[in-house]
Amino acid sequence: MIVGIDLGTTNSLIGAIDAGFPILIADREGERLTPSVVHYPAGGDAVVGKKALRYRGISPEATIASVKRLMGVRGENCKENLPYRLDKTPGAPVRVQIEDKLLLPEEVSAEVLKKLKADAELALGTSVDRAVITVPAYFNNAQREATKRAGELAGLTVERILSEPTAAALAYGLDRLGEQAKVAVYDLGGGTFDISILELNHGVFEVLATHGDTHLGGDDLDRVVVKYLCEKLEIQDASPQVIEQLRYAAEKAKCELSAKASTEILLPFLEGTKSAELTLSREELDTLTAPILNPTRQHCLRVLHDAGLTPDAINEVILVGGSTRMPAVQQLVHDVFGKPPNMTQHPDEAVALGATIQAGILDGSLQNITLLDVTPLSLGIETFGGLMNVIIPRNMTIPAKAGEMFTNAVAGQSGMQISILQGEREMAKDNWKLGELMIPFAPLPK
Amino acid sequence: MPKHIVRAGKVFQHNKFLQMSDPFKTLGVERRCYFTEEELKEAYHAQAKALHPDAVHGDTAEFVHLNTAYRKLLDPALRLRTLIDLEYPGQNGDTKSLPSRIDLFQTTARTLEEAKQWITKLKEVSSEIVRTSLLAECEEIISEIDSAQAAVEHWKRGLTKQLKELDVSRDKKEAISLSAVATDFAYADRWLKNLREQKFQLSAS
Repeated sequence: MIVGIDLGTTNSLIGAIDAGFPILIADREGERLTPSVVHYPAGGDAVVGKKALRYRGISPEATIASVKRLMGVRGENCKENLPYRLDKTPGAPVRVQIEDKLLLPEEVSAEVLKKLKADAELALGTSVDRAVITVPAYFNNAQREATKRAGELAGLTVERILSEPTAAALAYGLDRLGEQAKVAVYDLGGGTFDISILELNHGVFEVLATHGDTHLGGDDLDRVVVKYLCEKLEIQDASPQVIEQLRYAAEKAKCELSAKASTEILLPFLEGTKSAELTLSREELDTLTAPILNPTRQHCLRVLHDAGLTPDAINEVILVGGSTRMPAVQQLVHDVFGKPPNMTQHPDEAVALGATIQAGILDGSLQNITLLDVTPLSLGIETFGGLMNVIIPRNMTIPAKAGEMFTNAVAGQSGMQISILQGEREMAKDNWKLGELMIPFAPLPK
Repeated sequence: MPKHIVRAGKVFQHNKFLQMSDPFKTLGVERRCYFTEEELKEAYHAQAKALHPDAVHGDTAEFVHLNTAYRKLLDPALRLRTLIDLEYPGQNGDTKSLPSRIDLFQTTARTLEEAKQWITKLKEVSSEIVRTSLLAECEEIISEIDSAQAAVEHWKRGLTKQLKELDVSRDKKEAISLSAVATDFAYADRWLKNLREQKFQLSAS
């Protein structure tokens, strides 16, 4: 039995194939969504999920949320501003500091996975030790490896790391296996954004192109609203607890504004005896969030360009991820693709269903589906002058093999150092280094 | 210890990474010089269903082989070169020769160079006002790219027609004429790719 897991920035889910159909598994309390939050009480076991969420307001420094944004990130590259303490030693992975303990992001994620695994074992009545875990399509190798380690720490063999928009497309296409269509998946979650274009052809799902931003999501929208609330309420140097209350209120207001034109924000006893009350309208929210949402338009155009398609060649644009509930996002997608988006997929559950379908493909219980996925980032090596020479370009179907001929740059060179890189930047140093190898040359005859 | 390496060029044939085999056979199609993208895709998807490593009887090495074959046949220039290698071994001639349309070569190169300067210029400006005025002037180069692109596309349509004709008159085709068309296709596709990329970058900024 292989399970499918959506390890999200905000929420996580687990599913399994039951009698040939992917189903999502609820926990003891009947909830399918587990908040990806871990609370570390002083001297005690980690608390995960809904219970941990309640500690966010009380002890934000010991309650870890949105840890996905730290996965596989090195100290010097970390720009996150989170209510808990981070150890950003350059050259080393970012770590979360709880009192005097340092934890890797994957160790925190493993706690969420352990809970999901236990829920699934209880519901299925068997032990669960193999899983497919989803990641944003635009995650690089380090971020994928960190996710894999999180699975291993939770006692799971990770059979496949699957891209989230691809997973959502599998969920969309499961009952359309006889059809032919080109679909775009616009996935805006709590912390990451992806856009992928796929071709569905009688059970074959071929990814044509993918693009995204691993640091763009609902969390960023909440942050600008919090900033706005601070200005409006004239709050300066707010304590973490106050910020957390504001963040909670901002998130709630953002969600409510998806259905209503305006909402009341009530914050009793925000600072001592001072309470706050104000109204936020959808127009205000849209103005605040536009600078964050607009870049997704560029990503959409880029992915269309990479796939060599015009917007009218796309049959459906599928929205997934909680943030796509926002009318502003739906309008943006409508503008770019010139058609109303398809909202038939459950924004929170489609990715987990897709992960479960991939698990079914791997264990042989779903045999009429073939997924042709691509490498989201180009792979290459460093050449003379510190340039990146692409050998496997992005969006190439994997597994793939490619070769190119290289030679020494200097006469009588004694060896060759090959740096293997991943990324889209021109200079080698701006890309992610996957590894290095050394090829010695035989000395020249005298 | 010197560690520098430089690029020596694209590997096309006879090397240990991409062993010369028959991609037509791998994909299960006839040895022809003209295919529509749909024809090739159908053949690729049909084979991929059976060979993908996730399939019950799938195999990674065979799937990689299929992928390489598909990419090769999808590109008209590579397809023709492969065909020549298979049917007229040793007659691929000079793969670095010039395209038959030197005029297009010049206009495209000039347009690409100008566009490149604009892109760098736009990247360097920091002031919003200067940028806006530059963007207004950009219209001109974008329309130049458009007309260059239209000219190359027109040329490519002619080449495709030529390819279809060669496909029909199978017996009369010679390595020399196939090789010339292959060279032209390689140029046309590279120019179109670069023109589209630069237009995208200009209109994105």
